[in-house]
Amino acid sequence: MWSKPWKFAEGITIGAGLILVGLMLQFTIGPIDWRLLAYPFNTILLAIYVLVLGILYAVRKHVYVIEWTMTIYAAVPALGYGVLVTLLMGLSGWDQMLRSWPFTLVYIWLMNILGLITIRRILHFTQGGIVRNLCFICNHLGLFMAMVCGTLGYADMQKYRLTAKVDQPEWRAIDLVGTLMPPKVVELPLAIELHDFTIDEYPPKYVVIDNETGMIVADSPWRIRQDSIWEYAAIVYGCKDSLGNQDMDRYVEWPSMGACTAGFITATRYASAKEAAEGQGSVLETKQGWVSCGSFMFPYKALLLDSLYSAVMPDREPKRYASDVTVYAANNQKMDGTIEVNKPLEIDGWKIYQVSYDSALGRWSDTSVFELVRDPWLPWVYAGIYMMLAGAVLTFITAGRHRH
Amino acid sequence: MLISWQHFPYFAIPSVLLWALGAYYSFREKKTLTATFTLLGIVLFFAFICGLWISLERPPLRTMGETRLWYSFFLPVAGIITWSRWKYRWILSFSTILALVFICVNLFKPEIHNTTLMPALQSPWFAPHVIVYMFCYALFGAALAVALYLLFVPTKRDDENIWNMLDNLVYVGLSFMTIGMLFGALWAKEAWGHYWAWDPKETWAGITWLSFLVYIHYRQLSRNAFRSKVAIFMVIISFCCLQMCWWGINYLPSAQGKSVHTYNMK
Repeated sequence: MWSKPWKFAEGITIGAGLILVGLMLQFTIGPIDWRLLAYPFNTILLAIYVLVLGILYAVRKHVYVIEWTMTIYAAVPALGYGVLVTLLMGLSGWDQMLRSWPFTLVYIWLMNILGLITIRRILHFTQGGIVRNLCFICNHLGLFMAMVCGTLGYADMQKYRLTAKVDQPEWRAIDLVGTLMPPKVVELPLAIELHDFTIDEYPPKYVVIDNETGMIVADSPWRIRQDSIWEYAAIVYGCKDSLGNQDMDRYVEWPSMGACTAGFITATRYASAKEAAEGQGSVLETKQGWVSCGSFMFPYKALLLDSLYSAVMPDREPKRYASDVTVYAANNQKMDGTIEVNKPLEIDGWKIYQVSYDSALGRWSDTSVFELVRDPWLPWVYAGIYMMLAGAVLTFITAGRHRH
Repeated sequence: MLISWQHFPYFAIPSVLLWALGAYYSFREKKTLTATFTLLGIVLFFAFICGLWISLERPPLRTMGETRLWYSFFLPVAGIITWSRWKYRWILSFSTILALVFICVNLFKPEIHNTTLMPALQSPWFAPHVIVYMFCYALFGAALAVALYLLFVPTKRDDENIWNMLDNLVYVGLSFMTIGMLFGALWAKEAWGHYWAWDPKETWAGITWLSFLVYIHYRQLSRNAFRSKVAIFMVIISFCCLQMCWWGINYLPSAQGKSVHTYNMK
């Protein structure tokens, strides 16, 4: 070992050395606080890092370790250690790995290699096939940019949670990145006025449950058919029928706050679960009645089928939830819009996400919870991601061609 | 009439028979017949997916049963693309057998709850993200077969064509994996506010990606000098990481309740 040319053994040793140094740092100075790198330190650090990589590249002929770092003999063990430290995190589920020194040093080593070989390839762009070089640069520089800018930019990322009530403009939010406990409430440079919050739900479902366990039974002999439905209903207890006899509880249409969904169903029992699933065979027994998933005002209602089974309507699944808002930002900027899951609203460098609502009130919620994210380094990370995407396409096109 | 899982056997069994015919003719080196039968099988199988898509009113990509459906679809697709490009005679037999395994799982252990699509999954990114990943899984499945072949038939390790085949499959598989992963990152930014949050699924996707990169870089070194078992094991280990990423984390104790990527677990 350590006789030129260096091979894998040196790389494996260097990686082990980095882990060891990392552990020593971990036990002496403790975990890394990435938030300390906030602007302008991250910008200065990035400039210094790129400069250092340039200088290292310039003096590579004089320092053997740099020359070796730019070979596959360094890349393979570095990637191997990358797999190892990430694998440890994946297996243990220990998130603090991201703040640990061994993890960070291994990834810095990987970034050094990426940086140096990218510089070499850019300076020798015209040699050995333009398309191959372009593919190489997209893959390597893209990853370098995405990872370095993503990591350094983390300190500048702002993330807040804001809870808005209908018709009450709100500008105070909880800082989600800060580690302060109790959470710090801050005043934001923008305000959200919630006009309306709506939930669209999927049509109600009916399932058969086991009376003892309350678990859904997939293969019961009962088949359920919906006869009628009130999307907005209220329960009326102990109604009388047309003959004046005491009737069962029933539901009426009631389009008002707190209404629940109720369905009138017919359940039929077949000889076997298979017959019930197909709806074919002789009907042994029939039951009718109301079932409801309930709401914050009304209880849920099940229909007892027999000693083993009941029919119920599970809580309706949300299909879409959306907030109609007006957002006021600095410099008299104002924007009306709808914020939905997967459809954030963008204003003045902020992205506003729909996160939650008052789940106790469900579709009657007059509250909407948003997350506001601002990440000034995002364009640089995206530039890296798009380069990697281009690189992946070029890799696909060129795979297997330069081999023959 | 709406297509449902009840009709699955009527599409799946003829598809497998057509793929088997294609595989048979690829051994006989009858190119037209190979392509015709395999493509017919693919079209028939895809018709079922489309029918299911229409009747569910959402892309069938959510439950494990539904992703297996795509996997059994993409295996022959990856097979026919590989076959048309490099003319490996065995590849269609392999893709047919593996597709058959996944079809059988769906026939005998369906897990096909007719679940609706929650708001987080309603995005234009949903279909491309999962479909590209499924395609890459299929390619890596083929790469694993080549690696195992080299492992158990040591005399073939001197055959440069087989190594080229393995390299090609990993290269193409990794390009698709990169695209799938980055589509996931772009989607995550729109849905959850950050492109990479080290969620267990993301962490394992990263591990798998790096792991295949180890193989690719190792093979760069010198294609003649490195025909050792090491490269073969790199593919096998990477494939194991892939399985962990795909379904293993559902059972990994340290990942329980942490992942926002679990949609089909109750």
